[in-house]
Amino acid sequence: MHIRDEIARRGKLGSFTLAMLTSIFSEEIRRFPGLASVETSEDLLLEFFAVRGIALTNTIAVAADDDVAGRKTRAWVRNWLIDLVRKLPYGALRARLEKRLTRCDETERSVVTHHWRLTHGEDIDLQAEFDVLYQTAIEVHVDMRMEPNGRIILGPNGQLEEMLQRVLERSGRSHISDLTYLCARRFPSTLETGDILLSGDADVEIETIDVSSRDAEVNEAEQHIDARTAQQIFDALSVDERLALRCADNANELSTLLGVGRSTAYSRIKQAKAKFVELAGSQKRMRNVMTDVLSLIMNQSAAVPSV
Amino acid sequence: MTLNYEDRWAALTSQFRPTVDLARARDEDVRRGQLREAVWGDRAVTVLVVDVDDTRAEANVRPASMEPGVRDTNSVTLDTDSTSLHTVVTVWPDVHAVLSFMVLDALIVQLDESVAARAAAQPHPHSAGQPFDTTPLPGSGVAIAIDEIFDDMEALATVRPPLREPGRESGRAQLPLGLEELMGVLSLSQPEAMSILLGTQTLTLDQGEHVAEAAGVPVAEVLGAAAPLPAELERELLEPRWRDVIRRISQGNDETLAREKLGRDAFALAARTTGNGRSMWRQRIQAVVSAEGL
Repeated sequence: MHIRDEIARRGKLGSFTLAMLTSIFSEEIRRFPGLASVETSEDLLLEFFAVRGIALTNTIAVAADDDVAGRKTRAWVRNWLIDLVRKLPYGALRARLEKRLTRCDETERSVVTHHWRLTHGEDIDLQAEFDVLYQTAIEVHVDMRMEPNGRIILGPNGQLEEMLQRVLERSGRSHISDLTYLCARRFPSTLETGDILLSGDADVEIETIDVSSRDAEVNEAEQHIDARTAQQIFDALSVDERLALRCADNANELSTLLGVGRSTAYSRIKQAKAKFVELAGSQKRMRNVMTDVLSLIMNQSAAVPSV
Repeated sequence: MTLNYEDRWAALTSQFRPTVDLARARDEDVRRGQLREAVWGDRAVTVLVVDVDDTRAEANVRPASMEPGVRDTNSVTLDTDSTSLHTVVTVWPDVHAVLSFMVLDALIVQLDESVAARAAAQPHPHSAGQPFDTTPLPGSGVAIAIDEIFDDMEALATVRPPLREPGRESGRAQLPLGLEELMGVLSLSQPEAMSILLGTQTLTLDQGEHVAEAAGVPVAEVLGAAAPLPAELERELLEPRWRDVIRRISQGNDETLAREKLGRDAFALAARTTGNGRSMWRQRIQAVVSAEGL
């Protein structure tokens, strides 16, 4: 029980914990060669501890013994490294995003390396929080279509660019890694299908109408469009995804219906929700459309798909 | 390691000292509103105790996490000012489980009633922001952490103390050895051996191991056949306060056997004292711990 004894004696973490962490980091970083080439194991360890601080200290301090302390710490380290490496440039996703930014007249490179800015805006960092930028990205409608081969098409022209411009309005200049990460969060399905940022496809017809008038004809037209959009979204969801949304508040029920563990059911619900959000798109009509989609799902019989 | 590395580590650990009350961590009764560790085998999870069944030694719990950033749309996050930990704590109020006290471990913090109630309440599904934001990306560290929390809690919820054989509250021991054999294997007098067979004196773990070896049967079978420990003693042994001692006795092996040993040693002590009840058994167990330096 070396670690607990040391904490009790010193009132803080000491050399036993450092030895444990050092061993864990040197093993785990081998799983992430991209990180190992950027930072040393020691630097990563200290960076990890600096951001995990008291929470990790408490977790280690109350651990039953060194083995439990080690297992919990390893899980935290691994999770942190996974999320760290996911924030590094995504390769193809980043490359495509930079191409779109390069082609867009409204965006250009900042004087700061790897940063982008609005062409007609100030080249400064406005220190915007990620949640604010994410909210901004959500508010811009970006059509999505999944092709039969699983590729996801973001289009038509200008929608993704408009989203990036709105984000840069709030952020000032922004690192391409941050913009890439934001896009990955905004469109999580793209992480699974790879290269998706194609423009120029206008197969999905989007009608826009002036919503400033609230007369009955406009309302009826809006409802008609919402219903059609809802059907398109419904059709884009798989049977499993519809079932997960149907059971969105009850992982136990989904677990039983699909014959999977509860944690797996929980994950499927989260994934289905994420895809639902990105398919629904713009907040302007989002809630109406989502309500229509959920009605379609609830009205469908809950046939259990084969697993 | 460079000297600079160790200096930097020392500087950071001085900044981040434990905020848990380590003196109280292993001596408190299980109560509502506690954040506790639950551990069994290679499974470990932090839980919020929402309700306690003291008779059955079970706690109704919700999974929790102190790992920064681990949260989703179905969780409730207590900010750093909500508890004496001064760290963020996240709870999933809609994921329920009943854990036996035997898997509960250290107390992390006792939450104020209002904070505990807030942690156990359903999060609002449609807040001012988007209904489905803060959803962890599939395959992200956060998503993996949440899956592991739920998996571990499900596994811990299946751990239960051995069932007491119905009707065997007391009475004759059904050992695989007869009186003469018992006297020989355990070096006992006839009255002593008879007491064991009649169930008026319980078998210690050491004696059980000798009998098992002589009879060629598993020691668990011998102990199960022996007169069971009093119900209140067995109940007291499930308290988290004895986990450390039981772990030391087990030396990394089966905690159930180690708990049995501690119980039988405490019961042997009862032969020389009077009184029953939970508090008396607690004192006797403590006496065994002190006497044996456990």
